[in-house]
Amino acid sequence: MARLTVENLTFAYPGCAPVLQNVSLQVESHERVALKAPSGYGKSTLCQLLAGYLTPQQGSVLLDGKKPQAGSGKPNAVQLIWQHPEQVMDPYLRMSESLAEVGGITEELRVGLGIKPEWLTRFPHELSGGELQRCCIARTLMCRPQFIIADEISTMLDAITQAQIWHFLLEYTQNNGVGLVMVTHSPALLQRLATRVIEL
Amino acid sequence: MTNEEIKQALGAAPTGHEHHDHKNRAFVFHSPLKVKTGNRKKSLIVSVLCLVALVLIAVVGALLMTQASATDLSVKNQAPSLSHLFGTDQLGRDMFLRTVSGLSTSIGIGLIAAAVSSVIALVLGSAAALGGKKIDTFVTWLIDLMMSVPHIVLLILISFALGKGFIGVTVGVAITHWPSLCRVVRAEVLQVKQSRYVAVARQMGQSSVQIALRHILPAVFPQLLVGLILLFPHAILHEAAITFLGFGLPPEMPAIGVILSEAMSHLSMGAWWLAFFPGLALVGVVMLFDVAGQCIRSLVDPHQAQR
Repeated sequence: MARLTVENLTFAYPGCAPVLQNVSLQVESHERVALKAPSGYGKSTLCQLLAGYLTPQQGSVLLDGKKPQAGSGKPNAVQLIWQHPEQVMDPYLRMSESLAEVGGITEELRVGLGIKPEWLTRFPHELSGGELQRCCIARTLMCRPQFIIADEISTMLDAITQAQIWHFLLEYTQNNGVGLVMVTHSPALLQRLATRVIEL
Repeated sequence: MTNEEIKQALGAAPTGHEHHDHKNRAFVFHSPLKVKTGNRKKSLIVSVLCLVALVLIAVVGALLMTQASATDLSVKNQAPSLSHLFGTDQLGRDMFLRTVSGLSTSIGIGLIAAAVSSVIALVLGSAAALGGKKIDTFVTWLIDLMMSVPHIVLLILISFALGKGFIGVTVGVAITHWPSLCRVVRAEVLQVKQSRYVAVARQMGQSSVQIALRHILPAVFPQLLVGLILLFPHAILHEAAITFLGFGLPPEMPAIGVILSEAMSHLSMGAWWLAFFPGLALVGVVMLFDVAGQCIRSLVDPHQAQR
């Protein structure tokens, strides 16, 4: 069982006061942890620190005692699903090309996430936010992460699409023993999905 | 947890009023939108026509080099007519043939010089953006140094040092025209390098070389291609300028600069056609490159793919 540990994490953007100070937490791979805090309290920053997009000034993020990082051809074991999918897909690559970088999408994932085959032939700007987010989630899952950080992944989607995506993600994490750290502003969703809530 | 439970948590349960409450329905009037379609096809046709015209001029001009230099003193200084469309010069040479041959020489020099300039710009711009602070400082200093000296002065010096002629002009134009494009490439690479999708690609295990080839180069390519095409007219005009000043191509070579330079001494005698038609042809070729550049820019940009 994998364990994601955050020890005395402090982070400040250049020239600004610290966003996070001495944050410590621990997440096991069977858990679904929700991060709860008002806007501007550093939830997204913490998500980026967990997934290795930002480097803390103090403290560390460790996965089973080691710093998680991407190697040559090996994706990071902690993967972040971003809030804005249009920023994370290369605008010059079609969906199939972007997904091919992580080995291509499996039929199980495609059907599970409701991705239509014709979406794969399109550029990111030719897809809606919901369609693009499903492709982003598929790409993240294709990396076979041990922990998924979901940063408000469904705020821009309609309720039915949100339900479909969350249902699939829950099933996936439970079946594959993947830990889930999520940020959401929906108290109801938080209550239903999370096994533990951490307030920042 | 079932799908229905999640839907309920999200407040998606139907109230039964959404589709039946006609009283509270707000009507939105949409103005009819005229969606322009077929622009992409039009761009493609225009750019192909421009490129075909330029290739035709270059090939025909190269084939007519000998005829363009043939003198016939019995028809010297003749005004434009049906037998000599652009008139003849003081040695009886047909100005139409000389103009087409001159354009061919200019296109050849422009092609080589612009291609070399673009390669220099791509290599130095990418190295500056991807290679660390020291390389960036050096390349930026080199760009500033090159841009601080007027193009034409540097061009004359390089061409003169290399013994003038075809090689002197081509090397001179190639060496002096990369800085502005290099600056564009550097800025573009820096922007793409800091974009989120590159950061995500890195976290997904892609190496720096893979990121450069798959994500950065394709993003820079449209700018580079347009920059390359827009360098052509610049290179052609500079070639004509230094040849006009006597530091470029030799007088026996039919080139627009040579033609215009020779025409200067005969304009006062009323031989307006010696400068007018070659000058007009030069402007026409420059405009062809410009139109082709604009059309190709719209073709290689995926955001305009649906237009």
